[in-house]
Amino acid sequence: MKKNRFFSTILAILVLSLTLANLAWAKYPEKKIRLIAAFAPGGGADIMARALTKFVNPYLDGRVYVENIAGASGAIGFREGAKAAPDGYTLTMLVTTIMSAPNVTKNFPTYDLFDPLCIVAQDPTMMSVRTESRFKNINELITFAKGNPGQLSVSTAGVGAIDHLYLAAFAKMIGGDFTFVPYKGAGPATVAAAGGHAEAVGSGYSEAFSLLQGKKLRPLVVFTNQRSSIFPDTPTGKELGHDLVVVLWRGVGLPKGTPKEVKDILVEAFRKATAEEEFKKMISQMGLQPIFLPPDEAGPFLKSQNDLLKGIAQKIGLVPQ
Amino acid sequence: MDFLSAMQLGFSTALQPLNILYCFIGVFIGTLIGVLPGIGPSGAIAILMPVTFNIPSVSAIIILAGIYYGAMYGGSTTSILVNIPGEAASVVTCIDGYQMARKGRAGPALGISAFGSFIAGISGIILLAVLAPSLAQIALDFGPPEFFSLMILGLTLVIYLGSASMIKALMMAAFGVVLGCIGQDPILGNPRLTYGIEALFDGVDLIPVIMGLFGISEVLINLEKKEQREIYETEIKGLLPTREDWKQSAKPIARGTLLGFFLGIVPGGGALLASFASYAIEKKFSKHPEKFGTGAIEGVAGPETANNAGTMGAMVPLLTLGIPSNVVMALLLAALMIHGTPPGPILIESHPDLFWGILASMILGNFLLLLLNLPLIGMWVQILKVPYKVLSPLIIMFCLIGAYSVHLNVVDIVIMLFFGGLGYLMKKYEYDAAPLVLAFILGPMLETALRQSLIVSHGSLYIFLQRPYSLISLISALIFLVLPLIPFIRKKRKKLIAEGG
Amino acid sequence: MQRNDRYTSILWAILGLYIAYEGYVLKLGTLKDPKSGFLIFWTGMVLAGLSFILFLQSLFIAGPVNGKKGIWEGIEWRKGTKMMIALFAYALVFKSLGFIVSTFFLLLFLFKGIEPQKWKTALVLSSVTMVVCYMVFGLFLELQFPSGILSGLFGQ
Repeated sequence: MKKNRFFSTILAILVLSLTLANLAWAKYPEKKIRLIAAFAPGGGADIMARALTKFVNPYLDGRVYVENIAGASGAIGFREGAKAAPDGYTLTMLVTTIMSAPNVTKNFPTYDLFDPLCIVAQDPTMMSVRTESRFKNINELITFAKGNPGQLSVSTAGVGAIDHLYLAAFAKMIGGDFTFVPYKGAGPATVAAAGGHAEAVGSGYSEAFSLLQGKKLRPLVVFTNQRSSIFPDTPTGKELGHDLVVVLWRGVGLPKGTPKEVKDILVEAFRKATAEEEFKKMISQMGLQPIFLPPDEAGPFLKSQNDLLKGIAQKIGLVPQ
Repeated sequence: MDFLSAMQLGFSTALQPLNILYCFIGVFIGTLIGVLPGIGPSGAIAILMPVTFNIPSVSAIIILAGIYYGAMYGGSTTSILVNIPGEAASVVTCIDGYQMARKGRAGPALGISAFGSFIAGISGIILLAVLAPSLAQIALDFGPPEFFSLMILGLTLVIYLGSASMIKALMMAAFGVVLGCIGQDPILGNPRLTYGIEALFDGVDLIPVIMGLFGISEVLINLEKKEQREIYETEIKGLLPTREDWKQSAKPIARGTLLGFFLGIVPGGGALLASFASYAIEKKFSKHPEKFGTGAIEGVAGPETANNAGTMGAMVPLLTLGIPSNVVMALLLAALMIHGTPPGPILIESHPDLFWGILASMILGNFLLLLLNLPLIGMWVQILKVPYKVLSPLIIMFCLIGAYSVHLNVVDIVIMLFFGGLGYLMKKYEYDAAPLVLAFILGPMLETALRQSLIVSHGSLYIFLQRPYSLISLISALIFLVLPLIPFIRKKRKKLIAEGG
Repeated sequence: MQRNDRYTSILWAILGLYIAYEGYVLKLGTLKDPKSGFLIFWTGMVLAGLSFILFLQSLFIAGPVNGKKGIWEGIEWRKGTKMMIALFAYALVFKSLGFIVSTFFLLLFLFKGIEPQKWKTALVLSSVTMVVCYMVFGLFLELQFPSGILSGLFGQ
């Protein structure tokens, strides 16, 4: 009967197309590799994940794709990535949030649930004021803060956000007492400072990039080891006698227990991808600093940053809710 | 550079064959996305972004922006046809648009929506071109106190959204505020009303709520009848707006454009507020407000115009300061940065071809969208003829995928079903959904702004009266609150005078 | 209409009070220094207050009688209920069975089980819809759907 044949053809096409979509061949990578981005599409880290995918795919047979698992400020995605099978088919995009959030939220996945694969970008931190601000340099701000406790308003990306943490540490170091006004993310926080709704803001370079270039924000101090080439006139915290170095970073992690052969293939692939000029150019244009830290260097780096942030959180009395 | 040569530069960029193609692709995808309920432009833009890495900056933005304002055109389609908003900004269009469809006037509704969007788009671009640098400062000047007062103004508009009882509208608004509070406390970070469910930690997302309140509940209501045929109850009358329609829609379109554009500049939700505000204002200024809710074309013309004008307004802070007003703008910002052309005050000078090229391309895009959408009206109207027993599973399917697509989490489907049931009950007992949605969006923003302001002012409430924009908003809110009482007071006075002799 | 409101307004009032309670638990603070529960508490109280006014209205003010006997009479409650149950079941099995399988069966049920249609029509419509959805959303828009049981078959 005509209808029967039509019908069975449809079924056949269905089954055939589904099968074709799933054919697999030889060694690693055999099937698709998912790179979990624990946030909704569109954020800086998501863009980084997609950029990475584009550059690393030529070295991994084009198997990598981005999977967004957003929710709970990243907890859901991070958790998914940490407990995935350690067969090299699940990578997770890691960002500094995984170190700040556990200080504020109970049961938030921690960075040590992962086996670090590499760090691919860094973002040094700084404190800025709006261009018309009454503080011409950092010393004026410090003097004011010391003499007027609680009068200096500082916008932050949220309670327990990284900038909150390091600025709180900075406040203690200079003997001052800032009033923190939480916003929803670094974007709104920097805009608020530029608009004069807060006197100062802490952020990574990339987060304040447009406003800095557009001369709406002026950097007062950078929290790095040496002065930045982009802001040669801005002193480092260290120069002022306050040893505070905080770096925002983005990297990739694997579930613990991934076999060495697989890990080596991945490290090589990412190393080559991030060494490409195009990639470096793209990263710099986002305001980030390209860097490549393989597992043996990434591990200690992550640990030192995490301990630093955790220590600050405890000192200022943050309790996970 | 003067305006004329700027436009010349812009069009010479925008009219390059490849860029025309990109523009078309962008608006086409955008329309598709807009029509599909739930899935918004941000997802599509995020996915297409890597594809745009290798093309010049101008072309990349042409495509991506095309998706954005294209989606605004398409969003009204499902609102009118099946009472399901294509995205949050189209919620208000459902109210009268759907009623028009049921009366066989889906064509005029879709038509006025397309034309209004076109007029808003073009006007918005012109306003953008002329006023952008001066307006940019407004975006920066909007801080927590200004936000708070604006939200207060927005909430007073709730009163005008309800069709029946004002008490019920206010009750729904209160409930909406509470629903909006579910999730992390915006200032302190502790979980509120989450009952330990991790999926609720980020709060209840708007899309599943809308899908449930409007989509699922509508299907449930229709399933009550013993036999359903089609959606519309009378025969289909005409495909395009009549002259009478145009007469009635002219002023709403004009008001909607201005309202939408200026509200769109406000970062963080101005554009969303625009459509609600437009509806409330049209109802207030209408000579026959009782018609709203039964298929008044002003209730479609105004909001849909405001929507599209809002998208142009949202571009202002992005292009002039590098401040994104919403998720889509943030994506465009990222795209601009990746291409080495960070937006900001220097963009217009350092890359005039980029700035004016984008504007010119948007003008082109609006024309393309009009050409795309008008013929489609005939096709959309045919959908209404599909028997409901085939149509309803499709509607449900769209709602399911729309809800799931937000977080790729099944919990959102459950949330949608919950609100579906709630929406059904609300329809039965005559409670309006629009106030709930508006309050759901505005409530948390209001609370955050209030608490932020109080932190800065160290507890002083005067901060709301000291800032000019804030003061203006509060006074306007007061006026809007008092207005409906005036006829009431007049009647009482007349009575007293009559009795007093 | 007014009689319906009588009972529902009481429900809303109770909900409002419960919400206020939850707000209270979260700590109120003052207007000058609001804490987590401030807005929630007062909104809950407002809801309860409004519901009470509604309740009073339903007792005294004569509203327009709708001409309908009652809003629950004469309706086909079976179809709607079946649909909701099916959708909940869908949500439950979605992850384990995967998009393709669970959607196919759901569509089959919706096309056939709610309103009577011929088997063949239902099957064809279900398959076509399912394939189109998968292609448009899954492949073109790259939404990630769970593969469920099919992953076992095809080793994805």
